[in-house]
Amino acid sequence: MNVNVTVGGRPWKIAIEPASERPRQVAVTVDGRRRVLDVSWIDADTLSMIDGGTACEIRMHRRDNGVVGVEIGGRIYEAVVQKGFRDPFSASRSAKTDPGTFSAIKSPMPGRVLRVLVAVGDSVAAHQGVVVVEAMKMENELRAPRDGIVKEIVVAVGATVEAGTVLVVVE
Amino acid sequence: MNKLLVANRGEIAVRVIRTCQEMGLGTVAVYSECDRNALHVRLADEAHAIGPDRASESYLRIDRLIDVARRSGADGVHPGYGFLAENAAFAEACAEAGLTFIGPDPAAMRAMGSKTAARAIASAAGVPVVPGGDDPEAVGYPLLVKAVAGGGGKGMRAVRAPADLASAVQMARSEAQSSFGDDRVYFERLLDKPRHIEVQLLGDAYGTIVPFVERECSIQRRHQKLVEETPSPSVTPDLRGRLMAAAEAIGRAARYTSAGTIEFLVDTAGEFYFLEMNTRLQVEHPITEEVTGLDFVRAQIEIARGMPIAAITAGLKSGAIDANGHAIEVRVYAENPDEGFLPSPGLITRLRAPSGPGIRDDSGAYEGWTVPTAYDPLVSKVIAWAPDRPRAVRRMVRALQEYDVRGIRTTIEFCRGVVGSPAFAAGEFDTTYVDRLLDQNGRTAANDERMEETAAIAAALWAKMGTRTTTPFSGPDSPWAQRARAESLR
Repeated sequence: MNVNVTVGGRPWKIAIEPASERPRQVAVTVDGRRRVLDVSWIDADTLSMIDGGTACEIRMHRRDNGVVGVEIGGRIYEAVVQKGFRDPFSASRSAKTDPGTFSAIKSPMPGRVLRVLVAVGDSVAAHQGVVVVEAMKMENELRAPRDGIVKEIVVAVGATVEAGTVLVVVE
Repeated sequence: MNKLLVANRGEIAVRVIRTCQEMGLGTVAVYSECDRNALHVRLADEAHAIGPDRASESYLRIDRLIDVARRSGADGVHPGYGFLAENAAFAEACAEAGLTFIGPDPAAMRAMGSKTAARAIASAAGVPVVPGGDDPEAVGYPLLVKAVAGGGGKGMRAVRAPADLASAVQMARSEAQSSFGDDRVYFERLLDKPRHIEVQLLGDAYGTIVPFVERECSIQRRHQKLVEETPSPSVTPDLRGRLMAAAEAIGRAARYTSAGTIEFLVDTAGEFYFLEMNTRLQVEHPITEEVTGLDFVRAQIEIARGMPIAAITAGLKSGAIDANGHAIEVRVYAENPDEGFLPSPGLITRLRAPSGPGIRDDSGAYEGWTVPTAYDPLVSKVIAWAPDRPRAVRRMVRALQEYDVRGIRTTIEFCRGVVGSPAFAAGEFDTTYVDRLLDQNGRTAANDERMEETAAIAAALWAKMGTRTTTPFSGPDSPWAQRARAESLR
């Protein structure tokens, strides 16, 4: 069976099949190259892989929006697995695509809105500070992703927000 | 002193409790609502609620802390760092309540805790200070806005042009107010590519001041330290002697007691300037512990009990002053380096700390604990000791690869890139190093296609594995579980 994964901006087409009757042996074919791997799951998100004698531990970091962080040797690679297989991400948290002309500025972390630096109708430049959110005692200035006009201010000063809460919409 | 109230939370509260337990002292923890299940509460002999999550309603409430001390029968208070650690009014309130405050005398704390008064004391002691004052135009640009009561990068903002001054002052004031309860700020010239070097001091009740070998703290991002080491790879024996003598002179002028740290900036010409004094235990104190064999929390407690420093350091092989080997600390923050180091609080789904030779993990976290949003994002500190710097560097890289933290984003991977970089190995960096690294593209290592392929394979296997339910009772290596997975691939 084939699984499509994107890592490092590049799509990988990966064919997986059992290699033998021995339980952990898995044959993986990438770009026409077939390898037999010994794959042992330490737990649901940790696997020990032995590839022709080369061993590594791989740690899966569950993220939002269909992304999984794959940690190998201290580095984390962001991977996007094609839909239709495992979907460990709850439907409510999946990316809601915004209409092309709108940009929602969302809080990247839970916190409290300290200041709103713009008003509806203001024109803003890319990277201009829009909202200040306090989290973990630090003030974090969130910036406009691009040039535009402030269409809507969704939150009030003092509001407690969650990660992903839309704060301001720029058109 | 028989029972200590630990007026703090997180890793430093755990750190203090550990020494108290080794000394046979009773420990009293305090906690806000969201910290009920925090590690320091689990470890202490007693624990008392002091209010809601917001620090100003709990960890900064002097009245509630004194009340807990009275009710629990504690006779000493250790403030840790942050919160009330450098608050002279708290030290005085402890004294009035008959409690021994583990820290400097309130007068010394007040003098050195005010950045402006400390600069005057240093100047009078013959130590050069960074040009600065109350008038931004006189200081000139680029400059730093700094909280008078500040520390730990809070209440501090760099300003490159006059147009940005007003908003920077507002942010600094507001942060300083919420962190220290004091919104006064002043201005300091921003030096070009300085190194941040600091000298740990111990002072006792008999006027003895002992300086320790310097700590190099130049690996920082927006004035928040990420990596510290001792000794500094850039400090010559001559500069070391002058830094230690200057630190000792300032400590003596301040009639300083207990543990404190003199911070300096060293410019590219090797000239140094007094920056500020921290009148408390520093976050990075463990690296000095590793190279001296001294326990600084224990030393603070013994000094508060009236023991002379000579008695505290007696029996240490190194004589405390001479560093033995090399130590590096990496701070693990719950922050996301891919999103400008924004806080990343939340549930820690997996946690396995590094171990093995020469590794120490000072942590306030555990698997299944939720990092709260209300406080500083420091989760733990990894300390590596080795006989020399190259071995300490490799040991730290090894430890960071071992460190398994999932559920939250952390600075582990980023710091591994920094410590493993050729520039770090060569000791060629200054306080602008991390920010310049981030400007380049945020990644510390080039992409490796072979590793990306392995990552893609792992992601595919993981996604595929999840399409069949595995039996939780059969264990990872059970032939039945493995067979079921193999079947699922058909």
